[in-house]
Amino acid sequence: MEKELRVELKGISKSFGRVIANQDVFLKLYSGEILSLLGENGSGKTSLMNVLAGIYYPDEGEIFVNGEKVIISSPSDAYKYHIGMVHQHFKLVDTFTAIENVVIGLNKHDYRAIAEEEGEKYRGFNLKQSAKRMEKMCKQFGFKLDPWKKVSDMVVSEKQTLEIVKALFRGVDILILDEPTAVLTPQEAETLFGVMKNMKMAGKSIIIITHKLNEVLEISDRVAVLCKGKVTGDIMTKDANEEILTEMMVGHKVDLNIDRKDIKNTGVRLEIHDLSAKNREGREVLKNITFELYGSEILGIAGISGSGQKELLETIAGLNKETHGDIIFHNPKKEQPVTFFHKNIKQIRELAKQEKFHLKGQTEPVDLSKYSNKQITEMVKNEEIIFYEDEIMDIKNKKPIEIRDLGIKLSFVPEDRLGMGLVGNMDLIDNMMLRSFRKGKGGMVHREAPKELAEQVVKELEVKTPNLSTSVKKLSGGNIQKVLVGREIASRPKVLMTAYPVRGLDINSSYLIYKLLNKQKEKGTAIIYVGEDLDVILALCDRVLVLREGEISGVLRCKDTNKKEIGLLMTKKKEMTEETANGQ
Amino acid sequence: MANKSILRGEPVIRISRRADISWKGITIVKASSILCAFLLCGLLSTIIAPGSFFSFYGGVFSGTFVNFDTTLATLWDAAILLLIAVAITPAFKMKFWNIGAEGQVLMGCLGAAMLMKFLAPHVPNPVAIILMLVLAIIFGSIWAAIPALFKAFFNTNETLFTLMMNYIATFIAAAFSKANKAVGSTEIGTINISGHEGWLPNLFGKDYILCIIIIIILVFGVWFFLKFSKKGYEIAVLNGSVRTAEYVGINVKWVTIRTMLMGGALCGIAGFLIVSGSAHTIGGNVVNGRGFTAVMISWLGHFNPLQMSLYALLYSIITIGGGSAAGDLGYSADVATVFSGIFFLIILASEFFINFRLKFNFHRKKKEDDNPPSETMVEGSK
Repeated sequence: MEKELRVELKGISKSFGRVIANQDVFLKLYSGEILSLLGENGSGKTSLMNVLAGIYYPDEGEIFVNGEKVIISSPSDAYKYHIGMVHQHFKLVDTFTAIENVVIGLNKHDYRAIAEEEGEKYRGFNLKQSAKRMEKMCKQFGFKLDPWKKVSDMVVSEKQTLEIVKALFRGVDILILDEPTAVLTPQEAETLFGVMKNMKMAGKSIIIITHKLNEVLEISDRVAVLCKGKVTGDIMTKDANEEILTEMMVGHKVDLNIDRKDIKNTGVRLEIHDLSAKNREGREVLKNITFELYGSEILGIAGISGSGQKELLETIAGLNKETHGDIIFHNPKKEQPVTFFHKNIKQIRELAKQEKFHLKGQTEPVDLSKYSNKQITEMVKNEEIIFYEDEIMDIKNKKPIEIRDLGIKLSFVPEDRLGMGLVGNMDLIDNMMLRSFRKGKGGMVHREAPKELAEQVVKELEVKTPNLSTSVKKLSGGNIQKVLVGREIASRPKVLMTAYPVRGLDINSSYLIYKLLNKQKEKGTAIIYVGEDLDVILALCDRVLVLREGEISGVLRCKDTNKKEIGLLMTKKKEMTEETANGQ
Repeated sequence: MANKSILRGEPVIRISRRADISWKGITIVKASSILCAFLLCGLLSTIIAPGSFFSFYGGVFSGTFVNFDTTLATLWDAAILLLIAVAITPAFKMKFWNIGAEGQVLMGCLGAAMLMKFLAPHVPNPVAIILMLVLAIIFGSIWAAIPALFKAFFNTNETLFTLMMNYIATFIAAAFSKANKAVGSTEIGTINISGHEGWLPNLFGKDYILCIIIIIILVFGVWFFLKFSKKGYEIAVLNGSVRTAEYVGINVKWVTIRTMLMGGALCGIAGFLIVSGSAHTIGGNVVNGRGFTAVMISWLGHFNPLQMSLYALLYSIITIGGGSAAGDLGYSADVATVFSGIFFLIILASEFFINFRLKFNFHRKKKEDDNPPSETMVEGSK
């Protein structure tokens, strides 16, 4: 079949203030092809497609559809030219059913056209008629979707299907999918790819935005690579491989190996036992979670988004009030001297009574009651009083500040960087002291130490910022993340929890973060890594814990498992999980 | 080939968000908006009283800065407004929308007036004044603490709550005034008119100087508190997000209550200064809507006490000066109130040019004059 030119973008430029999103972009799309738009975050993929879909209006450039020059200044214009886009964040009405969402915004001409197509009498706004057409369409392309199901009852993959159906219902020939697999399990992604192939057979053109190389190679016919707002390459998929594509994306060769060192773990650091938690709305989000976390280990947490990953970390960090079960922290103090770091003389005397200490060079418990306060102070300073064992502390239902006051060095890099980890309106220095601003005497804040820390983080992590008094919200996503991770690592944590630490980061920044985590692991830190890219989890982590609807559906050694197995655990029903658990 | 009917939709004006604007740029936009606002008021005056363009500005000047006394009166008016605006700013910074300053100030007024009436004639003046100040602070703080407690523990809507507290305060003050009415009047009138007990002393023979000095110190103190203290830093974190505050272990409930107590105390001081320093009376309208105007001043000044002082001064100039010009030119003083509304609407509108820029598509318009496009589009950066 001869491929005809469907869409041509000529010299498209678009900027937001000083930020150039696209510069002089030329792109062609043919009928019946799947074009991958590949590029790092911030390379301008989404804004280019938003221009085509009528969300943005280009500063410069022309768009041709089927050889005719067109002006697309709204999404309804785009539909006029049979262009539809499925956004990364779905645009559906939660309280409506599938079919109601599909027909939103249609007018009587559309309904008349539907009736004519079905060979039925025109009856105006008629959901049943529309639903019939929708079902027919689903059958044609291989979708599974009930027209009468409410969006609020749907899982993510169903919502995505609905978005695609909505576009097709409007007669879209050119479909743009913005990172469609980011929210899907490997199995669901396979289904989606199958559907995409059906659409391609029907002569429709698809543009898929992604930054996952393996998907590009699997699904697309042609790849266009964007780098810093420009198309830097256009290659037939059959001529490409991962190395070529990466080089096109970042402009130079990148070592895609994550160096996982096998370090013997340094004992249990965190013990979670039968933990259940409710979220703010009172819904149970964690059920009977039990696991142990070791020092010098990276524990990956995998799961469909919203399976309780966020809640698990927040509960451990003391941000969730409605919890049951135990969170026990083992402070690695075995054979270490006691210090005045969050312990006063009274507490040290108390612990000595419980025979927790011995003197340096001796083995029997030390009796501190015969020493004066002054003598004890001297002994602590000389590091003469030694712990027998690790300190064991229950931190359940403790607030973050109480956990810190216990002397527990627990760092948390939350998923929501500017909504939780940092304050966007504050500058780098003020953000550095978010966790430590209470330090120092008096009612005034001390900005000297945070300033030094900010300088150090900027230098060591190569944060690109005009100066230290720039608001962090003005930095790019990668640099914001470096500031956050830098601050959390600077407190030399014993347990480091990270939620999606590389989300939105370019390849270089991502690998920098992996390296930082590995370095922390070498230092003996126990690390929890919540991620969405299973390939990364398998390469970076020592073990992976799979969550499904707030429950653990499996804990696997990364060396001995694969993506498929994890993917199955992410979606599988509970009974089956138990079967496999017994079978192993 | 280009089809004209398809090309119709191209927008001629497009609005796009500015990524960044320099300090200089902001100053230019703001200064020109203030200038425009002044010019427009003059033009409006010319329409109402024909040919009065220049005499309007003469009237404004003669009402405000013509001599030392009027200057002091204008400055005092601005200072009181500024103090109230500064009082609500810490709460605003943590997104607690307290629009109950009117009531909080009024309760401060009431506290001061009660002691002025019943205690001041019987004790030495310094003791009376200090006790009046203390009671004003207590009254103001209580009035602010009530909605704060409800917000902290029951998550009630603070905007509606504080608004309703205003009406309660207004009627309590009016009732107090009526219950203690002066001979031959329905209201309390000037308290201690003969002995001046409980009145703030004059400095250099002028009424307002002491008030203004106290307010300047307080405003500077709040600015310093917000910028350099740990408690001020906590408020800034809460401004970012409540989740962040919880994440770093800030007790959100306590900070809410504490900040409102502080705002209420400052409102109480404002009430004390109004009663003891100038009005020497009490009634439902002794605060004269300043509690509401202060909301606007606080916003216009971007919650920065130093910027707010500029807008408070401008407000006093346009209301007092406009009123005096209206008197000179023979139209109603209500027109001056309209002027002040228009004046600040223009300054508020200038924020648009700080956040957005306009792009014109002139070059396309020339090419296809027979197809005048009309649409505009708004685009936001992600």
